[in-house]
Amino acid sequence: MSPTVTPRPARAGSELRKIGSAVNRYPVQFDLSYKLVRGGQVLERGPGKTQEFSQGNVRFSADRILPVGADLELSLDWPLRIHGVSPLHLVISGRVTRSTHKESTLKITRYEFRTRGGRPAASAQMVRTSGFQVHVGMRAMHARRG
Amino acid sequence: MMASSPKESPPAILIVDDDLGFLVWLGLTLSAGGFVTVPATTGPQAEQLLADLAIRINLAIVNLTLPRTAELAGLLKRRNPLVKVIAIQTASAGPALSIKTDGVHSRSRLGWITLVRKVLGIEKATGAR
Repeated sequence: MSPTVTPRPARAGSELRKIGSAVNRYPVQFDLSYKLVRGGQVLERGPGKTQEFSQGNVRFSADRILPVGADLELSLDWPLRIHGVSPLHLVISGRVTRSTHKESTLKITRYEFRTRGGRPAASAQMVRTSGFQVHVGMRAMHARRG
Repeated sequence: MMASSPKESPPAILIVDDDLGFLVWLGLTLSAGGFVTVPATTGPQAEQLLADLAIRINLAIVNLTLPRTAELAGLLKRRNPLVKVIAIQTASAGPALSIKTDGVHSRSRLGWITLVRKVLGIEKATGAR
């Protein structure tokens, strides 16, 4: 499916964010699948859709009311196709902190991008620095020229 | 100037930032705009993803306040001297930097796509509407 991205991310207000009391919110609607896990066992599976990412949380809709306190794993197929397959997945783990008949909120405890085969992208060896050119397109960007 | 014809693969963009919300939002925004995107939250993770996926990057949008991202940019440049880099700072860099990041976060979807096209030297849309 084609992701739906809200044209402009809603913000809680720059003044508030300066004192750390507010967070940026990113409305993104994207298909996901969830797994309800307990003790390492998958109890339930189902489809859903992200609604919004915010600092440390993801709000999403699901096909059922998910129990508050439940441990969940969300999996999103990144919209990248190589030879007809989607080789990259975003896997988000966390605990349900809020749930209604319409949507749930997951407090994110861990997330990682996995390539097909389930291997997470782990740390790689250190590489050396060399010069590069940075293009500046807006005032928030900071240019360096190497 | 980068050519952009229907037969060519769309430009590939690496995005590195530790703010998951921003990373997903921007990645999906640019994907919807017709670009191939590869998201990563750290420099080393980006290196490994690029190796696993065997993707040649045309543009990297990188939060250079994160550890080892400058090294990553250098590596990309060595692999492809024509690679472009857009440096960003986001809220996760800390409150002191939040003012500088406002322009990035409040950018519209179209604004980002337009910027990326400009940096890549693409005059025509690559599928974005």
